[in-house]
Amino acid sequence: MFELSIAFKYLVPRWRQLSVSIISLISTLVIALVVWLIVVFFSVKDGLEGSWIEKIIALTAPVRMTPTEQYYHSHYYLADTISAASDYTPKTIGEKFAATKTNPHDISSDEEIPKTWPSADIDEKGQLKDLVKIAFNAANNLTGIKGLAVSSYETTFANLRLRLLRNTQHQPSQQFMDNASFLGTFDANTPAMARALIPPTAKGFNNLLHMQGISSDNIQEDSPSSIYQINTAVLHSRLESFFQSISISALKAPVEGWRLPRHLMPTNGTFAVCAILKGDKPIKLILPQSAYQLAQLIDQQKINGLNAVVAELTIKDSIGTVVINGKDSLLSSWIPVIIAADTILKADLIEKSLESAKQPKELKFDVSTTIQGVTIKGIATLGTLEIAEASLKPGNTSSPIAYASADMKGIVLPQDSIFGDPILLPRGFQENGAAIGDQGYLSYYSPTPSSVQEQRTSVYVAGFYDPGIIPIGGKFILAGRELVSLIRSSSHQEEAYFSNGINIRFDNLTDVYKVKAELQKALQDAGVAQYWKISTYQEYEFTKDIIQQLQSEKNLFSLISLVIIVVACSNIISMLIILVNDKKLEIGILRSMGTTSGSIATIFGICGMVMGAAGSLLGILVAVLTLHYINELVGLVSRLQGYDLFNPVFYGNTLPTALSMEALTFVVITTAFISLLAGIVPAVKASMMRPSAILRAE
Amino acid sequence: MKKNTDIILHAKKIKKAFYNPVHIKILDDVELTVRRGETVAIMGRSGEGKSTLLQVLGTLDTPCSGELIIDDINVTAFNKSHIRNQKLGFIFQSFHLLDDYSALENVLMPARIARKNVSKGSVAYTRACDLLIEVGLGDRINFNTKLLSGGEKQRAAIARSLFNNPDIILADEPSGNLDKETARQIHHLLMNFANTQGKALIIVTHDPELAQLCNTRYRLQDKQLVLQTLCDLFL
Repeated sequence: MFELSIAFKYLVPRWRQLSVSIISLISTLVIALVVWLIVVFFSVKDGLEGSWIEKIIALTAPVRMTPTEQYYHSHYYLADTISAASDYTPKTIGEKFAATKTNPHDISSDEEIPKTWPSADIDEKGQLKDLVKIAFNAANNLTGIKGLAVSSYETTFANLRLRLLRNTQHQPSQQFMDNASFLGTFDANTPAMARALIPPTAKGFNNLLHMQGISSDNIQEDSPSSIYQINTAVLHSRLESFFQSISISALKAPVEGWRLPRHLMPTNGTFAVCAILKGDKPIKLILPQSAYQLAQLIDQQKINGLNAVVAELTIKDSIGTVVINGKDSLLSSWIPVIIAADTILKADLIEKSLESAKQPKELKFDVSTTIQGVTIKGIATLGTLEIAEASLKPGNTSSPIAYASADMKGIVLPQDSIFGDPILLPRGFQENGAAIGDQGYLSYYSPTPSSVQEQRTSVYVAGFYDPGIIPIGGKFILAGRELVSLIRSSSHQEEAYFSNGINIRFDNLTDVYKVKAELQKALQDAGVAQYWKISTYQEYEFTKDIIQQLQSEKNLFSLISLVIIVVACSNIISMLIILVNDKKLEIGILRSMGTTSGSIATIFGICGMVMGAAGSLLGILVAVLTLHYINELVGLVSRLQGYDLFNPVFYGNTLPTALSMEALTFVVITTAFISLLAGIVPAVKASMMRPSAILRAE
Repeated sequence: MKKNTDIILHAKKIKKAFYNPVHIKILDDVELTVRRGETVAIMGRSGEGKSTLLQVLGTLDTPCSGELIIDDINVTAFNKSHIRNQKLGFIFQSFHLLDDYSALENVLMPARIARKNVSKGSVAYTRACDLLIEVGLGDRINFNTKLLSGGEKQRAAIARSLFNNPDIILADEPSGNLDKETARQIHHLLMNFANTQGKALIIVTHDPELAQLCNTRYRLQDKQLVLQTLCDLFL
């Protein structure tokens, strides 16, 4: 095409038109930069938003049905309170669903129905409408929704008090963590929950192992005055079950180092060691793994005010010789040889020690490690060694730790154990020092006719999960259905309307409006719409604000990006005006040969479009690369700055890397449109030029 | 439609004035008729309006009033570009070749504007090569125009003006920037084309030698065209 070929000719940079070339290069780069920024920003933001929303939904559900006030005042709900068949207590939605009788009230034996009650809502057959079953059926009968799952949920409040037993400086210490918390049931079978579960850390395994040796009898006391060791018989069974589900593969030396037992001392070998001197006699030798660690060690010891020097330890036929400042001395047996902190030892449990150990510390392991090229190998007692690597044995069923199922379709919460009910805590607890295996109790208040009594139930930490940015997330404890139900019913919180309801889950979030509309219709058809409130995840009391926040942020950022695209593309205007002035004579010549003014306008319009397109293409290309390596880039910048660029609490450990199609479309369309607009002014200017004026001026 | 006359260009009562900064009349009721194959020279003093007249005749400029009929077609704002492309060829004093293009590409430009196929081996391509050989640039076909001498540039411009086989060639001081010898060569080339191919040629010039070669000569005087005899030239 004629216009296209001329336009390309004009766009090819030429030495003679250096200014035009530089300006067009800069405008293209500016557009590329803006496009890059917007695409990367929106992609990361969309990804984060997606994972936040996923976590919100992991804790709740995309769509929920909650009973309205009318439900709690309905004949259907109240009937249980006067019926012997229901033990005169109201039922939860779960219980109502499981109940065989819709109307438990027996006219012949139960007390009369009070006049103040609203009349029973009956269907055309004269039967009381089963509000819960109708709702469940409506949800279960939804068609075309992938991964549909309907279940009831309960939420309640309780105070969590955890006892944290730690060994600090070899002294067992006891701390408490008190937290007023929300307590909720959760659907274990959701992939989102599986992804939100935080895998157990070495610290968790360590804590759990040590807790095996401690009695939980006094756990419900306000502050247990002493820490009781359990008797050996119980310990053995506990340890046995522990090692049935957990395997330990490596141990590590604690912060203060690990004293190498004499029998593990190699028979031959030479080591560079850090010797701590008193006078000129060594009192302690520390064995580092590398020369770098040695230098660090010496610095560290010097900071601690000790006289530390580099020494050489030679062992020949089990006789050690230490060379300090050129002086030899024999390594006497009372001088401890310490393995430096964090040295990893491969470990394998010696099963027999399970029976002989009186404490978890006395467990024995086959350990091996290589220090400065010399292998150290043998049997070691656990003692102060810590677990460095451990894993849940695949296929076990008695794990005391919550774990994601192998197919990542859900999580498995342990059964009740000797420690109490297992609970999952949000990650904030882990950051504040709680660890897997910590025990404590949940306290709640149960009103009786004459007083309010505090009740306590033992729990232990079976894992941590990431609640994302849901505002109540930091306080939302997940527990088994029975526990929540127990606490909720005994503390009489039934009528807090959000505390009980039906979760409707499905795979595809875009289905929410359809699901809501269809449910609404089904309930209306059944004549029970007034008893249920259907809300989508955007409408929950505790998510509404954050979702609206996300949406308004998105609108705001879209506006901002529109503005910066306009600014970037406006460069095109100035570039094209310069180009038009530069090409004035050529325009005149082309006009004299019969080029129409429309063609001239098209030529310059194309120039603008091509620049916009080239800029956005370049920007998108770089954006794709950036997204691909975003975590490496962020890591690099964080290292340069010396702190985390993105707080992992909010942003997760890795940033999302998926390209947001929405952002891409937005950018491509706006850039094309605005660069076209930017091209119009100069193009019209060019086409309006009178050839006579141009050619006469020459 | 069969053309009943051999009049190719007819300008009726052309008036042209500029309003910037004051009202200056340049042309007043100029009448001009040019027949096919006729060569016309327009002479006059500098600033008299010769170039303006030529631009009006070449549709590059619009007259304030009056009518211009080219090949029985009344020129309007809408058919101007097409007429320029198909019926007119321009030659300028400063050649006005397109930079960054070769001589061949310059000659092909009118064809490209007319959306003709100009790929190598096409009819247009062959014609452009032939034309360049004819004007004596056979060995300069693919030279960038920047590398051509003044005379060569004007030859290329002549080839370009002839490319779409126009009826009228308008030349504004075609040899003004050339030395005498080169100018003479250009004059002969132009006349030769006009005579052999039956093109009307309208030349604005100062050069009596060139005017002498034309069939008809006018002098632009007092905003009017006055027919000149051969003797008037040398007065």
